[in-house]
Amino acid sequence: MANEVIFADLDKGDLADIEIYRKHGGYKVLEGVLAKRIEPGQLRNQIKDSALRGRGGAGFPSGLKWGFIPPNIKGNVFLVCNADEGEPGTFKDRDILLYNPHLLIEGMVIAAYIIGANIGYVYIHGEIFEVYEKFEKALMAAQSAGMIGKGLFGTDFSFELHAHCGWGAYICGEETALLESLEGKKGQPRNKPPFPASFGLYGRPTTINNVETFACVPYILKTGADEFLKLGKTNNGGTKIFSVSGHVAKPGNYEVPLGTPFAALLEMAGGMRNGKKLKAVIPGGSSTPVLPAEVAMQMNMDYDSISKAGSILGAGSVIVMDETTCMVTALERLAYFYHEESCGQCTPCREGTGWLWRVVNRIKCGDGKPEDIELLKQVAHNIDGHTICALGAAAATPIVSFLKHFGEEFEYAVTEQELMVTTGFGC
Amino acid sequence: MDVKITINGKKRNVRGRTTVFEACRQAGVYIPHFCYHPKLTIPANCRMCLVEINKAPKPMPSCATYVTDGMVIDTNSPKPQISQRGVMEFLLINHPLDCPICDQGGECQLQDLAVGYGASATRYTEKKRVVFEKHLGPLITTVMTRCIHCTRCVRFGQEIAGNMELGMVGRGEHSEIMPYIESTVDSELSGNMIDICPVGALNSKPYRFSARTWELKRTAGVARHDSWGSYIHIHSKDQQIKRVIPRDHEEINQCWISDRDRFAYTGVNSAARLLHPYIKKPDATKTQRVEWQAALSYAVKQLTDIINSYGADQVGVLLGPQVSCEEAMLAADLFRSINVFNIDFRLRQQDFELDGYQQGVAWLGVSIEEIYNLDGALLIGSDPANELPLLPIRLRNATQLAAKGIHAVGSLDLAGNLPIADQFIVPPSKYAYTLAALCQCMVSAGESLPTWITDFGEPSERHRQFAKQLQERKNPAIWLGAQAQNATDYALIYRLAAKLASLLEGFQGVLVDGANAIGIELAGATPHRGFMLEKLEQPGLNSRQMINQQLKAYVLIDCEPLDCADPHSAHAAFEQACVINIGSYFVGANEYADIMLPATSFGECMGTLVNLEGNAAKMEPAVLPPGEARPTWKILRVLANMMDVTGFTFEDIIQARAKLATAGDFSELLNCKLTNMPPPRSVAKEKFAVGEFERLAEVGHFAGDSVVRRAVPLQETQIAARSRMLSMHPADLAQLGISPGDQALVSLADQAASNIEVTCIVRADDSLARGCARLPWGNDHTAILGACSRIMVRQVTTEHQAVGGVG
Repeated sequence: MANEVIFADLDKGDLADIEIYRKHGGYKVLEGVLAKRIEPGQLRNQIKDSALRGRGGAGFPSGLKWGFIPPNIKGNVFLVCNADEGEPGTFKDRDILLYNPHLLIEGMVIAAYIIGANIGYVYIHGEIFEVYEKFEKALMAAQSAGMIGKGLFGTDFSFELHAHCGWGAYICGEETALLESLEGKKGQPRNKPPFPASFGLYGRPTTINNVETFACVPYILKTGADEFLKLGKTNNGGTKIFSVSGHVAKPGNYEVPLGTPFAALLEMAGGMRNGKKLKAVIPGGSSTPVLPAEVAMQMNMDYDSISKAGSILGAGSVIVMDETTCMVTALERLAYFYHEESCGQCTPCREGTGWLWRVVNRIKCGDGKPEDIELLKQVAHNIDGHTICALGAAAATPIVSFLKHFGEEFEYAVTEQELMVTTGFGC
Repeated sequence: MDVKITINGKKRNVRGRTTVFEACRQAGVYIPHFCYHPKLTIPANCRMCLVEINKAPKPMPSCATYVTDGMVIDTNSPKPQISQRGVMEFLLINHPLDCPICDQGGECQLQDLAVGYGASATRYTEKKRVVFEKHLGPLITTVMTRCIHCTRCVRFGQEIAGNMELGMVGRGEHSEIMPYIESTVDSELSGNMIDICPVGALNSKPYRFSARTWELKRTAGVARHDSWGSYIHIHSKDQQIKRVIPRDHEEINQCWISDRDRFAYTGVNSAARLLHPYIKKPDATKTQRVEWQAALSYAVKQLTDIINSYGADQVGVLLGPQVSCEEAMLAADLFRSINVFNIDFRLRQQDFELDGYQQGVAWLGVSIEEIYNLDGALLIGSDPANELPLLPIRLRNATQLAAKGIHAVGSLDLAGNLPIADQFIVPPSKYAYTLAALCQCMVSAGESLPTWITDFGEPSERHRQFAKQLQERKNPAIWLGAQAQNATDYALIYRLAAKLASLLEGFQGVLVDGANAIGIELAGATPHRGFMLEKLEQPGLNSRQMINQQLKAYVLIDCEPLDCADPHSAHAAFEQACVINIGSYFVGANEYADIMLPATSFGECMGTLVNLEGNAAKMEPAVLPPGEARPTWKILRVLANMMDVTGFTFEDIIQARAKLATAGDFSELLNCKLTNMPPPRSVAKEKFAVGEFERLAEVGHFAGDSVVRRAVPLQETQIAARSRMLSMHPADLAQLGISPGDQALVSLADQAASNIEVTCIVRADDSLARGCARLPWGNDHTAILGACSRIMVRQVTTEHQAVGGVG
């Protein structure tokens, strides 16, 4: 029960080669949709029924999102793929771009047809330049094969798709910062409202989705919404790629049905490395709350269950930590990341993330004071919900959750002026 | 449509599309803020204005949230209070605690709000951020560590000044406001960044460390360096002007003023200031300091002697165009009473053919506020940012003009900072032809144009295209800029523009050159019209004739040779004559003046100025005049009494103003129309030699009047440096084999004066029309060239380099 949707045919050859991709049924769904000129609204209903939710982190129902673009608009409507994967623990989009790029292209052309977009962009993270180069090749091939361009499959539907390589800023994964960056400006989030559906790229209606979301589209339309939904569970349709990293025997990307128990996913990843005991799990990437082992082991991997367990599925980036991990050190790394990646536009995040990191770093170095723990909580609280974009909240979340579940390690560090666990990396 | 909202428990109706911030402001509820500025876009980045709104899970930024029906807003409940305190704490952690040595102290938004929202002690024990200073030029000084990243200065550059000169680079905590590498802030409006900076990061360099805000006396004044007539506040201490800041006046200058108006005060107390009366007898070699009475008696004696021996028509009175209405009126009354009819203030104008044919005073044609509603505009021979720095702000903010663009006929590419629909970039000699061609494109079938227009030649396809687009605009403004007004064929351009305005069903206007030009004209200080434009039986000489005819005596009121189109001839005329100089500067005047009477300068006397839309504004004295300087109106009164001229019995300026006040409403007199004027002489086609260039008829941005020319910080700006250079199109320079930065030899195209030569540093400017050169007036170094409109440019040979001076 794994690799059924996006990674299904990976064993059948290099799918980045358009010939091989087409031999295994690639672009058939697109051709079918356009040849039969299926009404976009009907297709959108299928996406709705499949309960496909945004795979980038927020988990917003895609069918609903695609209805936000007003129909019959004069002028450009943009479709943007967010491939700016930069959060610690995430590495799934990279593999889709690398190993199955045509699936993404096919999904995007179909999505463009559904929402009525005529131009698309794939914004690829700046630190994976070789992936960008390979994707450009796939894009060329798709263009020469007539999968993108003018008057596709004899219809009057045209769609141009371009790839753009960013420069490696985490903030450009935030959809409006991505749009700013794509426009050639400094990557800083915009105020919302207006949302991209009404004022997006160059001020035009724009839909932005994650790579994995688009990659699910051909499968849904091929097998039907019900089949996709059945793969997962109600309100959590389909499979999800989990990027499992950390102290496991076989880290990597695992595409499993939503609702799979975490224990099963851990087993798939070869279990804990060197037979160590599980200590903590960050289930959705560094901006989601950490969970202690006992909670994680009881949890199923889908949007609703993880939410019930007190965290977020996010981008499905499972960071597994074993008993040797010093949580103070782990938090220091995360705090430093957000301090480094804050765009600096709005006050709480610009000033607060640096403050958080400095205090955690002080605690780690044995210079903490007992009142620092309360200070951390208050500073995190003052950032959370007060910023333009979600980066502020993302920086505050690890602080709050680490202190909540592993508070004793921090208490120990500030009273004893030394770390409780000293066996882990970086201690 | 109105929506019902509740603010802090009180129900209110407000208009839709109002922000929560604005709705609260209307209700008298203050919301703390830093990045919000009413004239700039809303970034909502300071997060200080967070308020609680029902249905919103998180506090919302009130500046960027619009009211909706039934909205319940709480600005003081615990939630926003915690948010605001939290944001204030974040803003202060890296802000230095240097208020005692900070110029902003006492008028600092951060300081004020820290009292209300800050904690008494900090919880931040880490090292504070240090940010290196940036060099932004001679007007703005920085303490970048104090910056709170509100980006007001960045947005000001982009949205108001029309040129992004500052930006925020770097990420997160390392974000810094900085200019382009190795560049400074060179806008004509840069000083406004000092005002809008909510903290002490950007300060005024000339004012720095010289006073505290609470020690300053505030006096309402009017700027007198261009005809926009910006309202200002003069801040003074110990009888010294310390700084000038804008006085909010939505109809004219909003909350902005130009750098010229802001920093010109630094020239008032220059070392060159004339503080005592001086006289220089013909047989003496040196000027001699005397008592007021002696100076006045000598002046009267000299004047009477010359009138008696040569006649009153050998006396010329020249006024600077910034002289107040009262002073201009008194001067006109006094000198006409003694039969001196040669009086003029139009020192930079070269073509006076229109005199006697104007129905009124040429003005903007609309009020400044109405620019907002214009559908189209045609600028002729204008560099708006240079002439009237606040005009581009209005043009960019006018809805239709910004959307559809404006049209221009001139020698400069204006697309850099104005919304341009189409423009002709031609040398000044082609203005008339271009306008005539456009007239011909617009004339409908069956109508015909007078032959003096058709004689210019057939229009081209390009003209037709331009005309077609312009014709689509409703009632466009046809504006003549300073380069047209000061051109040698101004009357012709003016008449063609008038024709164009009637063909387009638009209106004509003039971007008036000279701070109080309209006021002085109404006061009667022109050779052909008296008080309130009353027609004179006996017209006198205009400024150009007065200078060219080398009269026996001149009375100069706030007028220097550099104020004239041809400073060289003016200087020569003054040197050979008896000159009574009523002015503020010793250095310069001592070369030619026989009697120097020290007069008040900017900020030292009362007076009325009329701006280009006809708004009369009063100035109040901010400081006492230095030394023995006296207001010009007092000097004129005493002179009148000594010459037994009646009617000069007033004791203060308010009595003197009475005549002006009783004249009543003068809006009827603001009129650009001409009476029937005979057809102009046919225009000879000019031939240009190789290496010959047309020089734009303009004055340097910081060289327009005596005070500005002595304002040291302004003279140190890039704008001033550029106006001392010779600017030409890079292709023209390449043809001449001159590289930018090199020196070039400039001489007069006129063969007769081929011995006159000046070396200038050359600058490439691709916004300039081919075949043109910019070498603005108002500069000592190039004064010898006079007002010449055609110059020769050559490479400097080694021989010249050895002896040549540098501009």
